[in-house]
Parts: sequence; C-alpha cells; structure tokens
Amino acid sequence: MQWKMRDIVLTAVFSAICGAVYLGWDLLFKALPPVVNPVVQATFNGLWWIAAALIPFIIRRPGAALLAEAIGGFMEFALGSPYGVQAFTIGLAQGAAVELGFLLGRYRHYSVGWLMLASALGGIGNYIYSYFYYGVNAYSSANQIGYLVVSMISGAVLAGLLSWLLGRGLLRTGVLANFAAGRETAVSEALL
Amino acid sequence: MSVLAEDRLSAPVVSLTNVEVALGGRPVLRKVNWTWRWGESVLVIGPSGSGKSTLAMLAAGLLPGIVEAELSGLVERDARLSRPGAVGYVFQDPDSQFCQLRIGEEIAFGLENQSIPGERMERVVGEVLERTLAADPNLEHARLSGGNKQKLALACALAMNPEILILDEPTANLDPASTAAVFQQIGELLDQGRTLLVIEHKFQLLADRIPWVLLVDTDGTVRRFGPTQMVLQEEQDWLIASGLVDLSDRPQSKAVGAVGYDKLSRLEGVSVRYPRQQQAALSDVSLMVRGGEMVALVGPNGAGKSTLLKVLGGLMRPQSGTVTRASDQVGFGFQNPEHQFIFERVGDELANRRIEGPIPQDVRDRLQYFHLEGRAGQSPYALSQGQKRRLSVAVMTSGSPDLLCLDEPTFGQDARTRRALMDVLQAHQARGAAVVISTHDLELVSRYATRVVALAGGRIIFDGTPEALRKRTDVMRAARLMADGENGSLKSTDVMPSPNAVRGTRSLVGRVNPAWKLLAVFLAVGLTAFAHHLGQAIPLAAIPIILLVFFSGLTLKQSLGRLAPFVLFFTLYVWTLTAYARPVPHTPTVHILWYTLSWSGFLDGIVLGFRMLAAVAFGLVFVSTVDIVELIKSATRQFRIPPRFSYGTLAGLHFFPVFQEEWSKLRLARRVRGRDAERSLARVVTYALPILADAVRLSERVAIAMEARGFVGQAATSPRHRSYYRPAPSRWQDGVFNLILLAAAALALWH
Repeated sequence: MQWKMRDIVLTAVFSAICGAVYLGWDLLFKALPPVVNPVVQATFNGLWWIAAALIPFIIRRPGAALLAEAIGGFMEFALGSPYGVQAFTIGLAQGAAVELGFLLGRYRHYSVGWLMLASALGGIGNYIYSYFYYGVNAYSSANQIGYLVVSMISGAVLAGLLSWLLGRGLLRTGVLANFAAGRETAVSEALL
Repeated sequence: MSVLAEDRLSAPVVSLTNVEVALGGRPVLRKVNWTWRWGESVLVIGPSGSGKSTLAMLAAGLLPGIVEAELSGLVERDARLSRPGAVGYVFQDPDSQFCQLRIGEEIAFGLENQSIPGERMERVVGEVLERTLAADPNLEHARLSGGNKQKLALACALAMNPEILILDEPTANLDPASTAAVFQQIGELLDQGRTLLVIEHKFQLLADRIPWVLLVDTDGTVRRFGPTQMVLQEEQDWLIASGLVDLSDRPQSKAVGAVGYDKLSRLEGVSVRYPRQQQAALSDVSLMVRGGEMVALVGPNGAGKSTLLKVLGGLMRPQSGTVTRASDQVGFGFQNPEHQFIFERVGDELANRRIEGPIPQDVRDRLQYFHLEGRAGQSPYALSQGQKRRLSVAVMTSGSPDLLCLDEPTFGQDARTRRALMDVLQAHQARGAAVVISTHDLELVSRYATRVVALAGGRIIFDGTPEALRKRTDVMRAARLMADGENGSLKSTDVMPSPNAVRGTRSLVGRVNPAWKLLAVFLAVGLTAFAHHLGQAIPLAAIPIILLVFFSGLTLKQSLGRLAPFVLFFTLYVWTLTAYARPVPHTPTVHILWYTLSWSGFLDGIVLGFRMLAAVAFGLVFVSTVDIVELIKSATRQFRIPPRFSYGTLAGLHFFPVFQEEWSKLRLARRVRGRDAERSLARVVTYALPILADAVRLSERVAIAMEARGFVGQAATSPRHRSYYRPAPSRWQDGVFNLILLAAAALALWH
C-alpha cells in the first residue's frame, strides 16, 4: 500500500491533464443558456471528479482520490477557471467523498461497480459544498433532492464508468505493467 | 595480453556473477559475468531490446528497487557507490529527467538531496554552470534545445561529485550538431580520467575515445568485453548481422521513379504565422515537388519543417500564398506514431475499420510485409518502438497516395528498421509518388534523397542535390547537420523565446511567503460563506480587489482584464437564484413562462455573486503573485509535507505544457485518419489513449530519474532532512500580512 515515487508523479501528471479537462468543461458548462433547471445542469457534474476515480484505479493507494482532486482542482483554478479558487476547494470536497468510497472497500476493490459507487459518492461531496458556497441551500427541497440524485448518477457514469473504460484501455496497452492496476489485473484479467 | 592484465589491476566498481534479470516475468539479461573496474571507461553496444539499459541500471544500483525486477546471481558493488549522487546518470530522453523549472534549481535538486547547505549550494551551482552551459541559473530549462538539456542533465550529475558516470544513449534524440557537442563533453570527461559507462548507437564517433567495449547480444547475454578497437574489428560480422552497422552497398542511382510533371504539388509564396508567435513559421516559401522525387527537408528544430509538411499535405491552410496538389491522395505520417492509432488492435488499424471475425487476406499480407505477423490482436501501443513505426507507416501508405509527407519517419529507429521503412518509401517513389520527409539524418539524406531542401527561420536556404549540400558547409551548419565549432556558452539562438515571464512576485503581496499566503487565501475564501447580506458581501469582495489592483504588481488594465470574465458569471448566479430559489413568504414574485422569479431570490443572487467575486479575486491575487517552485518548497517546509509528495507533484505539473502541445498534434493526426466526426464514449477512450499512455511512461521515467539523483530515503520523506536552494524566507511580516487580511475579512462580516 506504500506510495511509490512513480505513483506520485503519475498522480500529478494525470491530475494536471484532468484539470485542463475540467477547465474546458467549466467553459462548456458556462456556455449553456442559464434557462436550464439546476437539476438538469447537475447532469454535467460527474466529469469534474473523474481524476478521483481514474487515478485510484491505476495506482490503488490510500489518499489517491483526494490528492488527485486537490491537484486537478488546483490546476483548473491556476489555468483560469471561472470558478476561481473554488474550483480547488470544491475539488477537495468531491475528492474526499470519493476517497470515502475506496476506504469503504478497504482499498482493495477497484471493479467497475466499485468505481461507480465511489464516484457516485462524489456527488454527495459536490452537493454539500454547493449547499454552502453555491446557493443550493436556497433551492426548493425538490430541486435540492433532484440536484443530489442527478449529481450522483452523473458521477457514477462520467467519473466512474468513463474511468473504467479509460483504465481498461490503458491496461490493454501494457504501459501499466509497473503500477498496481497492471500487476493486479495480470492475474485476474478474466474479471475485466 | 600483459598490457591487458596490467590495465585491469584496479579494484572492481561493479562485479556481476551469473546474473539473470527479468522485468515483469520477461527475461532481459542472461548469465551475465562481467567485472567493471575503476578507471575503465566502457562503451556498451547491442541491438535495441538487448538489455543494455537494464545492465546500466543494475550497475547504477537503480535495479532492483527503484525499478522492479527479478534478479538472481551475485551483484557486488563498491561501497563508495552507495552514497546519494555517487552514480551520475544521464538518460536518453532529454525532457523526462528534470523535475524543477529553472536551470539553477535543477542542478540544486541533487545537492538538496545531499543536504548541502545553502551558500555552498549556490557556489557549486555557479561553478558547474560555468563549466558546462554558461547560462543564467534563472533560465527555464524547457526553453533549452535538446543538446543543451542533455548538457544540463550532465551538469546535474557532475554537481553531485559522482564517482562514476553512466550515459544511456544521451544523443538518441539529438540532431548532429548537438550530438557533436555532447560527444565533445564526453571527451572532456574522459580526459579528466573519470570512469564512464556510455551506451550509444552512434558508437563509431566514440570508438577511438573510449578504451573498452562491451557487446550485448539480442538474447541478453554478454557477447564480448575487451579493448574497443580490437573487439570492433573482430566482431564486424556480428555488428552487421545485428543491424548495428549498416554497410549495404545500395546503388547510387537514386532517381528510381520516373520524375513525373503530371503529379505536381506546388507552394507559392506561402507564409504561416502561429498565434502569439513573434516570428513567422514560414515566410514566403515557394517549392515544387514532382512525382518520383524523394525530397528530404532538413534544418534546425523550429525552422518550419513540420509546418511546411502540414501545408504541403493539406493539414494546414497558410495565411497567404497558394497551394496546389496533384491529387487528394495524400499520406501523412507524424513524428509520434502513437498519434495515428485510432483502434485498439493492430489488425483493425491496418484494415482501418473494426474487424469482426477472421482477418481478411489483404490485411494478413500487409502484416507480413511489415513484419508484424502474429500481432493482429495486440494493442498498437504494446508494440516495440520499431514495430509501432512500421505500423504507422503501413497505415499511412495504404492505398496508392500520390504524395507522401512524413515527419521524421526514422527518428529513434535502429539501422534495420530504418532500412525497412525507407524501402517502403522507395517503393512508392518508384511507383511515381512524391515522397517528402523531414530528417536530421545526414546519412539517410545522402543515401536515399534525390533532393534536399534546407530550411532556417522559416525560409528555404538551400534546394539541390545531397552532393551539392555536402559542399555547402554554411548550409550544413545552419541546418545543424554539422557542429558549428562553438561550444560551451549558450548562444541566444539556442534559447527559445519565453512565453511568459514571472510577474508580480516582487510586489508587496508577492513578497509574502507563498505557503502562508495560500493558507490566508484559503481561510479568507472559507469566510465568504458567512456573508449573508450585501453590507457584508460588498466590503468582503472589495478586499481582494484592492489587493489585486494596487499591491500585486499588475497594471490597472491587467487586473481589470483578469476580473472581467467573472462579471458575466456574476449575472448568471443572480439569474439562477432569482429563478430557482425557494421564495421567502410575503416577497413579491413574478411569473414568466414556467419560471417563478422572486425578489428575495434576486437579492440572494446578488449576495452570492459578490461572494463569488470575493473568492475569485482572492484566487487571482494568489496566482498573480506566486511562483510554483517557491510555493511547493515553502509548503514542504512550513506544512511539513513529505518531499516525495510535494516535489513529485511539482515534477508532474511542469510537464503540463508538453501535453497541451501533444493534444494539438493529436487533433491534426486524427483529422488525417478522417475519424474526427465520430463521437461516442468509446471514441473518447481511443482519443485519450495516446496522451494517457504517454503520460504513464513519462511519469515512470521522471520518477526513476528523480530517485537516481539521490531523492531517496530521508531526503525524500522528511522535510527536515534536506536543504533548500534559495528558500522563500518565512518572516514575522508574513504573520502580520495574514492577520491584517483575516481581520479585514472578519470586520467586513461583523459590521
């Protein structure tokens, strides 16, 4: 379970790339006409914590989800996100929530189901942060529940399922041979 | 033999007895028995994949451990090699062995790992720079040429006062002029009597300088160890058979294709300028390419070779000038073959569609022709470098294109693969197609090209036969095909212009310790959640805006420019809450269409907007006044972060611009394959794969390079067991700044 140097560098490199994707997603999201209901807007949310699922899938270390979102959010902020420094702080909330999912699996489970479950929890992190800092507390109860549920589903698909597809693609390329994902799936490839 | 025996009296550096090494279950080195002694500099030669790098890492003590491997047999290493920095290691890829931003910091990284105190570190960095690059320590190394990056890597190793130096193909990615410069530096090290181990494909140039040679065979056994001249002479046949020396006597009549004027591609007065670039990439270039020609484009990096290829191949439209092509049948090859892969299997790539069921005969024929038999079901990324290159050429030359444009098709390939590729291109040339390649390889030019076009600074400086080029030493120098005789100091032409200079770090806010500043900004943004009415939110937003405009070293125009986009988002928040907030009872509401707009929601929206603005402005103050290296280092010290995590993050982040560049190349490459329109979740995956696969390999190389420079043990785990180069001071003024900032924020909320 010890972090290796290459795990740390990979986390930084991948998170920085995710941070750039987050920024693109920010701008795309902001380009949407604001006449859309916040519950509908929440379908976008999941991609903003894909780093928290993709990186733990590869390196399988405690704290990976949190660190990944911290770096990804920081990059998003530093590259000029319209959310400013909140891109970083909400990243911490989302990353901590996904981290909880992997902790529940005692850092042993990284199947597609578990990735989607952990990523769904990221939606709770997003909701809690947005409740205090993005005015979600002022929404009507129905809108709040809708926002939470849709965020969780979005997380399961856009962060969890997509991470698994990317991770599986990477496993096939053979470049992950020296990372936990590559070593563990060499034995249990049938499970994929 | 008596001379030999005398030479070999010194003590062993490393002694290997019956050593076998496997990487991930795959045997790499077999039955290795070899003793390397102090004072013996060794040249290591062998075909690609024979385990030369593994042998070098074994000698350096990087394996097993830092690099995972299964090892058997006896490895004895001199005790002197165990201190950090005792083994200086220079890797093949100039870009993936650095972990800081600027030259000075980079050299100091190794010294920090050795806990060398500040003043001495400053002195050593200065001395080493004087001897090697003669450059400003504040220069960002991303702006150095490949050759100078390798010199910097060597400087980093030398600063740590190494006992031995290991250079693993240091010139593989360099042009001939840079190669010559690196070889000269190797010569100087030999003159100083250092013990070197050099792995090198272009060994002929070093053979008379390095006294000992070690031959490694394809199966991972040591074939021979002995005096260089003698062994190379006696093993001539083996060198040829292994594809290490290419002595094929190819006929000199190269104009194999009938030069056809009917298949003509022409550029006239073409100019290209990239956004935010001072100099034009191409200025007023006119060029005619006929069918049956093999044109080699030569010139230094940044001369416009790739741009010219893209314009000629129709991937890019020039700002001015005209382009005419014989036909739309154009094949294009990118420098990185992985950019061209869009399927998950080799067979699918060749068929250019997903194959269901058995592999069609034509695909099987082509697999065989390109020596890729049995690979049809494999991932293209899992192939070896040579196989990848052959596959990408196979893909791009499918059908019968009239024009083939290839960007450095033989880059990083061994003699055998290079020949196989050039044979394919010549076959197309013979068919009457025009072939245009960019290259740094002079031998390739004289052997295959019917015509050479040299570019420098976006202009054509030479157009003629390879024989004529050889007589023009001025052109050869300008195109970096030949060393220019100047060495040592860095010329201004070697340094690419900086995209952004460090700003604002000398202002009032910029002088605050970055770690404490991050903490203060963090707390201040946290406080914004407690602003519930306008009287709190407006003064809270005013604090960072005042700091940004007056105390961050930015001009008024700059700071307003940075704030401007957020005004738009401000209105967005107002709208969202006006329309979706739970209306407070007894406040006016308006019903428009299906929206219920409330006055209370509108007020809440404005408050939220100012809270946003405050958070954004605090963030802007921070990024405008902080240097990432200083931030990482001071956070390491003030917050006691294990250096592995903080420095590892810094190393990862500094590659970010590389991936931005990769992304734009990838988009072009995909356009060539005509698959850009298809978008599904699975497409996203194949689109991201080349970048992510590259990112994984890069991370691994960087991590190994950092550990090879002594970033191990306590220096990597404890912030107190390393020293710091030019640390940002942590002073009482930092505390005062933070207190004032937070007091002001609290005051804004309290009143």
